Order: sequence, then structure tokens, then C-alpha cells
Amino acid sequence: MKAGIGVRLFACLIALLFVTPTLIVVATSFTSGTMVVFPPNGLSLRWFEEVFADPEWLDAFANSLQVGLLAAVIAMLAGSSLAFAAGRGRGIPPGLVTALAVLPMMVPLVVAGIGFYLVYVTIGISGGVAGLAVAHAVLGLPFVFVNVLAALKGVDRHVEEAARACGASQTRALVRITVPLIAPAALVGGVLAFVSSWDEVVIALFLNTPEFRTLPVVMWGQVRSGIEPSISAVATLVTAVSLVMAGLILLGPVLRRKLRSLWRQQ
Amino acid sequence: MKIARLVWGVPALVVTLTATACGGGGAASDGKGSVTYAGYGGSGQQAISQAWLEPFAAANGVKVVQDDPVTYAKVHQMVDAKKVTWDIAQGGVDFGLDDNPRLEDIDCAVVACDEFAGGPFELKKQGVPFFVFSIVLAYNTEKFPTPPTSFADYFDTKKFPGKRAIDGGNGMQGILEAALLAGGTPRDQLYPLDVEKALKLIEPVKQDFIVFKDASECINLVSSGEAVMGNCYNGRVEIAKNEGRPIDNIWSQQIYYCDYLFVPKGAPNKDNAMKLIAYIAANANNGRLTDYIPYGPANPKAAATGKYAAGAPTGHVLDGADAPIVPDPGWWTANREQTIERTSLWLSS
Amino acid sequence: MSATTGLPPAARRRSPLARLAWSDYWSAVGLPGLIFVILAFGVPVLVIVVKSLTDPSPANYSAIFDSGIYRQSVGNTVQMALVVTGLCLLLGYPYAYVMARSGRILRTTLMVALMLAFWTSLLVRTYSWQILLNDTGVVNQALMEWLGVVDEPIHMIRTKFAVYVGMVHILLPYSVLALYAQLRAIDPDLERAARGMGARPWQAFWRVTWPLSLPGAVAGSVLVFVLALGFYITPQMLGGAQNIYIGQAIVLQVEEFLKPGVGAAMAVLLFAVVLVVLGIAARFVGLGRILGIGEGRGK
Repeated sequence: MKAGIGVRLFACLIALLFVTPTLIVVATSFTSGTMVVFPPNGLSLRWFEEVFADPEWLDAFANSLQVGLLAAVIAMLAGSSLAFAAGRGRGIPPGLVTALAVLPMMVPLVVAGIGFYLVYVTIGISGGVAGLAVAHAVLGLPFVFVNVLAALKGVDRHVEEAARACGASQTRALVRITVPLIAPAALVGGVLAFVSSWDEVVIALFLNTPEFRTLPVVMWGQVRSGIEPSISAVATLVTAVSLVMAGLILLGPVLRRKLRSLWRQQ
Repeated sequence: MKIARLVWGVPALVVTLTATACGGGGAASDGKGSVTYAGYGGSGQQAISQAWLEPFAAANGVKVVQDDPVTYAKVHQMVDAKKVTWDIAQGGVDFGLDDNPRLEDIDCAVVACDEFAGGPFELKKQGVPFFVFSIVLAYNTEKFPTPPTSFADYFDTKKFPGKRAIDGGNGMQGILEAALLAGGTPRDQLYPLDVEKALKLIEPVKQDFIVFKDASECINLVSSGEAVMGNCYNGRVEIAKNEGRPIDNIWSQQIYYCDYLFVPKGAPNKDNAMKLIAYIAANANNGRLTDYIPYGPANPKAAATGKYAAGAPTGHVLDGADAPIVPDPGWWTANREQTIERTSLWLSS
Repeated sequence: MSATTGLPPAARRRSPLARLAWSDYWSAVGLPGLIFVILAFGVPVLVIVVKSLTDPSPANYSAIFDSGIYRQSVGNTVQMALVVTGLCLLLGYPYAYVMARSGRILRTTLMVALMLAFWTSLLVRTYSWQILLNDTGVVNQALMEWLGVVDEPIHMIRTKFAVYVGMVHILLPYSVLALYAQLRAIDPDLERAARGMGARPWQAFWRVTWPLSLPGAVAGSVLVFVLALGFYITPQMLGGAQNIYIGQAIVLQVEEFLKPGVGAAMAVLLFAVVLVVLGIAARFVGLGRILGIGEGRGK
């Protein structure tokens, strides 16, 4: 049963609306003029050059990268650990583990921001990579958890039992058999955690200090005092990183198969 | 080379982690130490940096770290948590600069306190006035054959049709006073401010307000013609005018302000903070801001000689009905929160 | 299977949680994760609750309702969340339906467009609407110069309209993905059978497909509604100062009025409402359906 032509046209229109705004931002970043206009006045890379010459933007890039990577690693470890407890454990009720693991997804960011701010003020950590990365790891953890839990259900327990029967300890079987099987799912979750950290503003605003600002925080500050093509250029770069990450996830399985078949041919 | 910084970011992560774990984050110590200055950002802070912070750092070998924006909340939280990162904060007198338990007293052995006697704004026990600015009636120069001449014109949409840009964040400070003056309240009877009466006077033009949150929006709104008039910072109007944008301002009833420097209680570099304040307030230096932005000196013994001196509010103090409006710090400190609540509600109803 | 035999004797003296965790091997594997969530998530939530009750006192909660701004922000937020949820359902349903009921090329195209939007940073997308909806922005330019429909620019930025547009653009993918998951699971033969028995196309849809797709519609809508309640960035950037939403009211209390206790109390209430809405919805359609977008993204 196919959808009618009218409905299909409507869907295509929405699809166009999905992508147009971002495309326009990208277009405005290549202007050679000083105003954010569409279509851009002439083409140039001057605003990208300006961004790459500005230490504030570069520091922010480096900060965001560090926070995102660290957050992703923490989220992968903690999320996988919880997925094992929820998927196989019997001591702690799996429902409770699942609730704890997915709840951070639903916390309004303003609430999380105030919470982390108050905690860090009390214990005396002010800003910095580790503090923000822990906060972002909590937000990213559900992505890892959901993915690993699904992968865990697909793992054939007989393989592990075979390993145990051959004399491997439980931990050895876990590390050598199960972890490699769930690693791709954990990695997908990790990339999602990275991306959610990469564009998170609210908590980062609560925790920012003069020495430590992430990219979205600097961008937020700039947007509030006026629109400039350099902001469009940063927006373009931010989007490019996000899309590369998306590409990694969506094309990851295909690439892996290709690599494997290449390997076999050799 | 620039790209290298990004690449190095990843290994730097490990270093940062170790540093954080060791409770690090001390000031860069090259003998003279450092001082952290927190202002409001934008072109204002850029000017402050060029006029005072950078020369001070060069002359004394002290590293000046800058932060923005100042919020009073952040000062409160820093001091209450005993984790103060700002040594000097910029702000208005409405923060309470006399017996504020969260501030250090100004050290008059370092700062030339006596020079402020007879100035436009008095020195406080915990705060030093350092520059004078004003919020002026700005207008788009292409919209009217004859420009507005007073705040009465701002409230008269028949004579001057079009939208008005208005700051929604500050309890309409100064605008309420202007409305009451336009409505016939004598100057000496403005306070205690009758907020309800003022709002009733403005009511007829309320539907023509465009409420903005950030000071730079005012300039964009007026110079783009989206609004025909607005209450903008005089310095930003001047800069926009020099960029060739169709915007100008009148000086009648400019809302007269002064920013103060103060030191949060427990500031890690208190001595350097006092030295920097003394440097900024010194009569030889205090007028230097006019090299970069048209904001006038607060030290009456300082001379404003910079290329922007002509546009500084201190040079345009008119008389009589056109005289500057100076919001009363006592009344506003006591009633700030209620007034912000009331005006925000009013604007949105 | 379980490793109780390898249980260290010390475990018997540990806290109940640790004992529970040590009771079998996999719970022990989960212990580090559990400790992390409790420390890094439980503690901040707890601190907010404590702050709301002690800085200076539980009177913070009554202070909330004395605040006219807060009462108004609640009204604004609920209205906005309902409108955005309705629009997402209205726009998202046909989109998801076409994705579930069309050929590979169209489906892939729609999925790619959806994913592009989904993966683009929230801040970038909000910024893009600022560029589009400005008085001198692309939309007004199109209306005035290219189409000549209007002479004066239409004010869109700093209005509720701009907030709704930005919010729908950001939240629509959530609603589409939930609907798509549900619609794809419905056997197209059911509709075909209904047609075969003489139902008109819309009857077949209304009697067969729509009721079967309801769980997806509910799940997607609940997700959108709950996410919309807590938004801060988009309303702050696209909305006017006249229309304040809860997220902004909380920041206002903390940053402007210097009352973190009242702000914390507001945050507690907001989170509680989110949990209650989720809890009620989860009874009907299951929490997994609401949150279980495997490829999902953060807010």
C-alpha cells in the first residue's frame, strides 16, 4: 500500500525544511562580505581564516574536543557496565538499573546545569575538562546503555560457556569473548555521547570559566551580541564534525565489511 | 601551526586531567602573580582592556586574566562557596557597595580615594567609580525629517510613529523616571518611584515596544529601522554612527550611570587587585578610556583627551528639564527585584 | 553460573548495595557503572533538592507561586509545549507514514534529510532560524523582494511564532522516529485487506492503520512534550523578552534575583512534572517505546 502523491509531496516539503536552514548557514559562512546575507556576497574563505587565526575559537575547539572524548570514554565504560547488570545481573533489580541508566536522558538541561553547578561549587572544582566531561558523560551514558543492552541480547551465551568449559575464568571469558562482541555497540553509543557533548550549551554555560570555555559557549556568547559571518563559519565547522560522526555510525558496518573482505583477499 | 593546537589537544587532555586531579589550577606565577578582571564583555571591555588592563600588565609584569560577563549572582556564589576566581568585578552601585559582607573594603592607602571628592559619582567604602556612561535616546536618522528632542517624543507615537526598542532586563530603570518626568512629576519628587503611575503613563505606547535582552541588540534594532527609537548605550551609538550606520542620539535626559570596581571577599590576588584599581582610578590614567570609546572619566581630576572625548556623556550635561536622569541607587537597590518582576509582567501582559 | 562461590568474605560486611551487587557476577560487573550514576547523577539531583529546602528554607516553594513571572512562565511553557507537540504530530505523522509506505529511494531520501537535521547541533539550528527569521532575514527577503507579497518586513524574530518554528524543527525528528518505528511494524497487508473488502483509502487508514499506530504517536508526543518543557536555548535566542518560559524563569531566579534556593525549587518541580508525565505515559505505552530510540540523540 503506497502513500498517496499528495502526502508524498508534503513529506518531501518537510524534508526540504529539515535541511534548508543548515544549508543557508553554511552558505553564509562562505561570503566575502561582512554581513550574514543569503545568497552570500561573493565567495571566499576569509571567515574560516579569521576563525583559525583566533585563539579564542581554537582554544574552544580544543576544549570541546577534549571534553567530548573524555565524556565518551566515561560513558562507554559506565554504560556498558550498567548494561551487563541490567541484561544479566540478578542481584540488583534490572528495572532499577534500567531506570537509573536512562533517566539522565530526561533531565531538563537547566536542572542538570544547576545541579552540577551547585555540586562543583560545594566541593570546589571550578570548570575544567574533567568536571564538564563527567556531567556530559552522564548525559551520554543512556546512548551507550541502550545500544550495549541490545547487543548483549544478541550475544550467543554458548560461546562463553564453551570458553568456560575450556578452562577460562568468568572474567577471562568476559574480556576475551563478550567484550569484543559488544564493542561495536559500545562504540556507537560512545560516538553518540561525543556528539551530545559536542553541542551541549546549557550545562557548559553553568560551568564555564574565563580559562575554560567550550565551542558552543563561545558561540552562544557571540550570537547574543550580533550575527557575524565568522559565527556562520564556526557553525559550519561544528556541523561538519557532527556529520562526520553520523557518517561513522551509519556507514560503520559497511566500512567494516569492506575492510574485512579486503583483508581476506590479501 | 594553528592546526597543531587542535591536534595537541588530545594529549593535553591527559595533562589537564592530571592537573585537575592534583587540585591544580593555581595562578601563573612569574613572580608578580596575576589578577582576574571580570567585566561585561563586548566593545566596552575591549576598550577597558586596551586603555588600562594591557598597559597595567605591561608596566607591572602582572598577568591580567579577563572574564565576562559579570553577574551579581556569580559574585554571591563565589564568595559563599569560598571559591573566588574574580579579583576585580565591574558593576553598578546597586550591588550595594557600603557594607556588603561579600566585598572587601577599598584600601585607600593604595587607591587615591580623596581625588573623588566633588566628582559626579561618590567613592564608596567598597567600590571605586571608574567611568561614566549613559543610556541615551537613540533614533534612526532616516525615519524622521526632524529628530526627536526629548523623552516626551519617545512616548509620543502619533508624532513619531514606529517601534521603540526597550531594555527588558533591568526593570526599565531610567525609563520609568523619564515617563514620570514627561508626565509632569517634579524632579525632586521622583523617589520613591511610583512604578504603577509610570507604567500607566507608558501604557498607550506599549504595543509599539520591541523588548531586547542584550545591549548590542538595541543598536541593531534602531540602525536597521526595525525600531525607530531605542534606549541604547551612548558608546555603542557612537561606534555605530562612526561605522556609517543611520543612527544618532540626543543628550536631553540622558540616563546617567557610573560603573564601579569592587573586590569580592576572599579574592586570591587582593593586593594586585588594589594596585590595578589604583592604576585605573589615577588621574593620569582615568581619562584614557576616551581613546577607545566615548565613556567619560569618573575621577574629576582626570582629563578626557582621547579622540572619543567629544562624545562622552560628561561633556553633554544639559540643564533644567534636559538635565541627566540619575537613577537613585538607594531606591533601586532596595526595590530592584520587585521592579524587575513588575515591569517584566507588565511588558508581557 | 553465578560466582557466589568466589564471593570475598568481606562482602558480608559491606553496605546493602554492595552486598546486592556482589550477590552474582554480573551485578558486580555493573557496580562501577552504578556507583558512577549515583555519584554523578544522583548527587546533583539530591543537592538541588537539599538546596531548595535549605536556602533559606522550604518557603522557597511558596515563594515560587508568589512570583508573577513564574506563574506566567508556567502558562507560556505549557501552551508552547502543547502547540509544539501538536505540530510535531501533525507534520511528523505524514512524514513517518510516507517513510514506512514508499519505495527505497524516497524512504532513503527522507531518512537522510531527517538524520541531517537530527545530527546538526541544536545551537546551529537555532542560529539558522535567527538568520532566516530576522527582519532583514531570508524569509522576509523572499516575501518582499522575490515574491513581492508584502512591502514591510514581518516581525517574526522575538515572537512566539519564532520559538514555535525553532522548537518544531528541533523536536520533529523525535516524533517522526517514534511514529516510523510503529508504522513500519504494521503489516501493510492489513490495509490491503481492508481495501479488498471495499473500504475507501481513508477508511482503511482511519479504521486500521491509525488505531494500530497510536502507541507510536503517544510515545513520540510524550517525548516531544517532555523535552519541550525544559528548553532554554531556543526560547532565549528566538523568543522575545515578553514571553518567558520555565527554563528562563529558573535562570532568572539564580542569575538575576540572586535566589538559587527558589531557582532550585523550580527545578525540582520541573523535574518532578517530567517524571510524572513519563511515569503515566509509560504505564500505557512502555518506557522503552518512549525512550528506546536506539539511534537517538540528546536534546
